[in-house]
Parts: sequence; structure tokens; C-alpha cells
Amino acid sequence: MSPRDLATVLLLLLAAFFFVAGVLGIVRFPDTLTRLHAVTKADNVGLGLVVFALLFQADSFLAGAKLVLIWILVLIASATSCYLIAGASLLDGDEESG
Amino acid sequence: MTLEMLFDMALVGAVVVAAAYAINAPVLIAGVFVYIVFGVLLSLVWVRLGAPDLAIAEAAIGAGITGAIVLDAARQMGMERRRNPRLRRWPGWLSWAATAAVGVIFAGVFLTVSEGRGDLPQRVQAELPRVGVENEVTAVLLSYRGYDTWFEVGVLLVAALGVLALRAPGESPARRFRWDPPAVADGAADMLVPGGILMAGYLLWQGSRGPGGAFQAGAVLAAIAVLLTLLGRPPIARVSDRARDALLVVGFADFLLVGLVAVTLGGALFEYPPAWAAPMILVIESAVAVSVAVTLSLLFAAGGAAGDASEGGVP
Amino acid sequence: MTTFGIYAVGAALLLTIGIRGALRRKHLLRRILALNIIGGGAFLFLVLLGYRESGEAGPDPVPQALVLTGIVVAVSISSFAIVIARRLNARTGRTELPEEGLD
Repeated sequence: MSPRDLATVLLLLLAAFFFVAGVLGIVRFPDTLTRLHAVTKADNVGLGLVVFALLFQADSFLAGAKLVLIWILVLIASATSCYLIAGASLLDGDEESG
Repeated sequence: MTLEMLFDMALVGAVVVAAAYAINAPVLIAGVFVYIVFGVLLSLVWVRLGAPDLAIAEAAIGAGITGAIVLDAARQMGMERRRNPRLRRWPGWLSWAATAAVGVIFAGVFLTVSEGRGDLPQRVQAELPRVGVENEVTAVLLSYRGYDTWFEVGVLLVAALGVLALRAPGESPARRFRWDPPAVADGAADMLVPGGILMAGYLLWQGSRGPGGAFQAGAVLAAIAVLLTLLGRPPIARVSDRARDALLVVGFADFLLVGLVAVTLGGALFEYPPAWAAPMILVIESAVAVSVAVTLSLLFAAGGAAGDASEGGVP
Repeated sequence: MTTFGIYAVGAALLLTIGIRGALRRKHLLRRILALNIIGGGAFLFLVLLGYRESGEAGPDPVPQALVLTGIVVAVSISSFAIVIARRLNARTGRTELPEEGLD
């Protein structure tokens, strides 16, 4: 196994750890906000590590740049949707208590 | 058992479980979310079976646009008087026996067929130089089976006309989703919209060489339109009705027009002369991408029901 | 079991789940989802016919192009069906079709 492949495998394993932790969080945590906290870690760090791992396999600068671009787009989308879901869940909570 | 088969089994298992839960979930909206997951898993299946064009289309159209439309509808009609009612014409054991019989018949028939052995791939490959594109799927869509794809664009047009005809009086896309979106959402849209337009252009251009093409590009544009519609500024409301109709029709009309040009140049319908094939296909694909984008965004934006209590609220 | 076999069984299961759902469920949106899942099973089998486990030639592009067509037709049909269901719901408050002699 070449050093490149080794780096890819190690980073993917680390990414898998974050995804497993995120899934555990969704299943085990009690409410929307804590679940969001868990799932965004998986999204952002886990996917970041996957992209980082695949960078070692990219055959050109352009291919690598596209991978990083995917990560950035997902970061924007996941941060925004997380904010919106959190906001909506707070609104819902207000209605229930009030 | 090899590692690859383990992966295949896990993927197929996840797809099947997602499908079953999507239909049978106790709460409708949960089922709709799982249906979106089903679409994403199915696009992984397409990657695994060597069909990246399908993977992009499935993720953008099957999971993305369909998911948004169903989710929006579930918001309106998500209430069920009883939890997940079902028809009970047959006793339970009989319906399960019938289900098992159907499953066994399908599996039995599918397993007697072996993977393809015909020479179609070789024949497609051999004719590629005359078509002017390197992506085989694009070649089949736009050239070899041009009729199919032309009528497919026609089906989209008919769906758009049907949705327009069913509009409640006084309803317009501009009146949906009237709310004050948080600045974060508007800011994200400002970043994602130009990126999405660039990506659609890339998919369209790339479609002649690699995975991508008119339908994928149109779906990405439509996704942007859905995003803007959710934020209360639907792009479809910015054009006049006449211009909208023209955009709906342009793909179908342009496809036929280019096909007829091929006839005047001495070929059959959609049999482009080799020297001109590449630009002609690009002209068709550009127009089809526009029509696909406008149709799909109309299907989402015009779906609301006037007088429905959920309209105008937070999506 | 081969790769072909695994995915073929998956396609059969999707068709079965979809058909059962479309016949047994009453909520119109669930039925529309079921129709889409039937479609998914049919598409999977079609693409599988063009899949080549071994051999120099790549996967057969013809079924792939047909399925691409199918995906676009499926979204047209389902969104048209959904608009009809939403009209029915807005007018009558129903989420199901009336059943003669049942309900």
C-alpha cells in the first residue's frame, strides 16, 4: 500500500468515526437542538475528512478543487438548513408552552 | 463472500427498507423524508452500476425536485384522521400471501434473466464518431433515440399545461410562501444561486463528454428556482405569462426544428449530418435545459391550492 | 449470489413493496410515493440488464438513456397527480378517494 493510499484509508476511517458518532447522536439525543448538534458534526467534519482523504487520490489540481468545492457548498447548505430547523423548532416549542 | 458483495447487500437492504418505510411510516411527513433518503440511496445504486448520468438525474430530480414537491404537499395534506389508514378488502393473511406471491414471481423472473450480452454497447460505440458527442448516454438520448427524448420533453410540456389548467382562480406562484425569511437564508441563497447557475452551465457543456446533459442542467436550475420560491421570490413570477409559455415550449419546438433541419440536409428526422451534429445537439440541449428548468420550477411553484390554510405561512 | 442477483432481488422487492403500498394505503400522497417506488424498481431492473460485470465493453448506454427518460416522466406524472390531490384536499378536506360501500 502506497503512502497515499494509507493516508486515504486512515482519513476515511476517521471520517467513518464521525459519521457513526453523528448517527448515534440522532438516535440517542432527546430533542431537536441536541440532535442537530450531533448531525452537523457528521456533516461538516465527517464530509471534510472524506474530501481530504479523496484529495490524495485526485489526479489533477482541478479534480481536487472540485472536491473542495463540494465540501464548501455542503457547509453553506448544512449551516443554513440547521439554522432554519433550529429556528422552526424554537417556534414550535413556544407554541406548545404558550 | 467478498467485501464488494457485502457492500451491495447493505446498499440494496437500505434501499428496500427506506422504500418500505416511506410508504408505511406511521407519520406521513416522516415517510416523505425517508422517501428523499430513498432517492439519494438509489442514486448511489446508479453509481455502483456504472450509470453516473442517472445518479445525477436521480439526486437532482428523483430525490430533490420530487422530494420538495411531495414535502410541500404533505404540509397541506399531512393530517390523517386515523393514523395511516389502509384498505381492508382482504383479510391480512390473504393480502400477505398475495404480496409474497407477487414478490416471488418478480424475483423468479428477474433471476432467470442474466446480465445483458447483446452487442448494443459495441454498436453505440462504433457509431459515436458520426454523432459528435463522446458521452454515450447523450448520444442515445439526442441522436439514436431522438424520438423518445423528443416525446419525453413533450410529456413535461403536457404536465406543465395540466398544472396550469388546474390552477385555482386568482392563484399565482408569487402569492405562495409569503413570509419574512431569516437573513441567514437569504444570504445563503445569494451564495448558492450564482454557484448553481454556473454548475448548470457546466453540466450542460460537460454532457457531450462526460456525465451530465440537458436534464441534469435543467434540474439544477429548477432547484435554484425552488430555493428562491421558498424564500418568497419565485423566478417564475418575474416573467409575463406569455414569456413563461414560450419558455415552456421552447425545448419541444427547438428539438423538432433542429430535427427538421436535419431532414432538409438530407437525413431522416433527428439524423444530423456528422459535420454539424455536435453544434446541433448543443442547440437542442440548451433549449431543452431551459424548458426542463421552467417546467420543473412551475410544477413546484404552481402546486399550491388557493384558500388552503397552510399557504402564506412558514414553509 | 452475484452482483446481478443481489440487485435483481432488490428490484423485485421494490416492485412488490410499491404495489402493495399502492393497493393497501388510502392516503393519496402515500399512493403517489408507492407509484414512484414501483418506478424505482422497474428502473433498477432496466439498468441491471445493461450492467456488465466483466468484459471490455462498458455498461450498455441504451437502457440508461431510457431510464433517464423515465425519471423525468416520473416527476412529471407525480407532480401532476399531486396537484390534483391538493385540489381535492383544498375543496373537500379529503386526503383519500371516496370508497363506494366502504369507509
